[in-house]
Amino acid sequence: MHQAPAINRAAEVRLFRRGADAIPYAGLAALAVLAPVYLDDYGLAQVGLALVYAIAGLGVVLLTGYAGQVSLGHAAFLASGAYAEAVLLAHGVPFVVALPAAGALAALLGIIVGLPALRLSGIYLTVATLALAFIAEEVLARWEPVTGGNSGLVVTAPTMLGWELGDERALYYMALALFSLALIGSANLVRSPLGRALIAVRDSEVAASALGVDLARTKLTVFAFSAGLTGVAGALYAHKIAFISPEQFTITASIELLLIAFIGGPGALAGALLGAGFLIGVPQIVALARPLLPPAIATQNSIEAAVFGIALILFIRFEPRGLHGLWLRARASGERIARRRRHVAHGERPGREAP
Amino acid sequence: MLLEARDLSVRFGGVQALRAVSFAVPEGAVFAIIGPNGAGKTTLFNVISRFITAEAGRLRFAGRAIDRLAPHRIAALGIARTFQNVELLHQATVKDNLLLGQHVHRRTGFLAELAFLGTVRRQEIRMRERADEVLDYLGLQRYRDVRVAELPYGTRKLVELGRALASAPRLLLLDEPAAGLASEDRADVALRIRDVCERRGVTVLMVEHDLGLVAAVSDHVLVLDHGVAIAEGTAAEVLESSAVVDAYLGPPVAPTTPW
Repeated sequence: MHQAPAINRAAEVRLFRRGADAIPYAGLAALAVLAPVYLDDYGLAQVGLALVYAIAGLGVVLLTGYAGQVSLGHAAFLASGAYAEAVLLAHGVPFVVALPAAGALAALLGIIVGLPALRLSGIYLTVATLALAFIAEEVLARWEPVTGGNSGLVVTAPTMLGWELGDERALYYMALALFSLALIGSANLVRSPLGRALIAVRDSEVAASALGVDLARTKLTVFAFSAGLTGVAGALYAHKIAFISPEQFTITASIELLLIAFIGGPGALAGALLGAGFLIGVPQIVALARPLLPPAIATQNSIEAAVFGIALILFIRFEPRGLHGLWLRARASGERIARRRRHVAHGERPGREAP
Repeated sequence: MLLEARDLSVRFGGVQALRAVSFAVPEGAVFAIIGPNGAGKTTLFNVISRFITAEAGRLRFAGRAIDRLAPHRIAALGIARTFQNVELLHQATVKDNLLLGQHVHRRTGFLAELAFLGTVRRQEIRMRERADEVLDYLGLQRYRDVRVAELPYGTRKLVELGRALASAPRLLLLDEPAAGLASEDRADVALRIRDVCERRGVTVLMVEHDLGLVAAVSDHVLVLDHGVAIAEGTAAEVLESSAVVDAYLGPPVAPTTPW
């Protein structure tokens, strides 16, 4: 008779089951904290930007990957966060108040848009959010007294306790801290009843509601949280760019956020970081590679878009779990090889193993 | 009576799926609904689950009218169900499905879960204890951390039963619990249904085609045909009545000669 291993429920509920599981993350965190030591200002700015996108990416992974709802309107949440931050700081509101307010405003906008749209399922939410994206673009361009219209807004550098936090290093640490908070919060949600309800909503609305999941409320909660995270990312983005204008928040920005989730891996929170890294990394690599390319290609100015498009198609076709899926595969084959080595070292014949 | 239906009628376009159906399920019983395909059995379940609103009639559970509740409120009252085609989360593990089954017992809000406060942690441990109790009861403990997609069909049906039981329901709706199972698994299902009712004190309302299973486990049987209740009584009474034989096999036809 098969003997089930003893169940340690308390360990199961922890973020890391065993202390050893936390080691790679601690290593990664140390690497991130020490980044200013080994990166120049430009590198730091790029990694910081990736972290900002990863905050929004977490929101998109939760909304799209976990709950199965597709939004094309996240540019509007990014914009509302960015503009709220710029306007509040310009009116003398302290940074520590302005940043959460920017997130809250985006979340509120999410609730207002989501309240009618989320009662419908599937494509209707996507269409409603698409409308939101276009309306937001118009508002940014035309509400000149507040947004500055097409001439944009200059964003004041953030200060905290009298310290100016406008340089790359400060912005980097701010993005890192907020990304870490967002990641821990998202991981907490995923291992809570809400996280399971999201997956249920995605996989079977019928089963979810028969199990007592309030579909509209669950979708609204994750939509608002996703919008709020994107708003916080928008506020940080405003500081990184220091100047915001409507053309930064077109539908393209919404699509970039979706790309983060689908290329990084919609089914895992790590996908947000991997996808954001890809989004920021590809233009860098293209810039480096441009001199090596044949002139007919090198003179094209949309190589990045082509790379994103091809990557998206390849991932959807061959690895729907995205970059995170590639990582899982690499780890699995690494473990297989290690096991085989152990067998050989113990003089056993390497045989077929259970999957 | 735990569940009382009075004069339920449902119409889909030109089809009258249910026509003034009345019945009452006593607490602690196994109550079976039988009838040929298209008789309205699953429609009836969907009315109870509130996926469909009856155009006429009343539905009461434990003395309370439930005809106008939102679907997710039904589970909170203590009504759990399984589906004809097994609606589990296929990419999730068996354990996670049983945890989801306890969603009605969630006592924590969004912010508490975001911070994973002590209340959330203790609730998670409590839900796992409950899930493990049900897994032990159904003999599924060895599949605890296996994804549903990797399990054979019969085991999935059992997991779905486990998910329903994990919510500690008062009334369990089983939509064709034996459909698609091999005959030895059917006997096992019959034993389990009786046991769920007698040892766990759960009232069972089931739809089933396998009349052998119905005869073996049911205290009460209701027969539907074209949306009309044509017979009701104990299993022995109903299964011998000519109305049931006619509904299943068609009315007797005078023998004809082909030439």
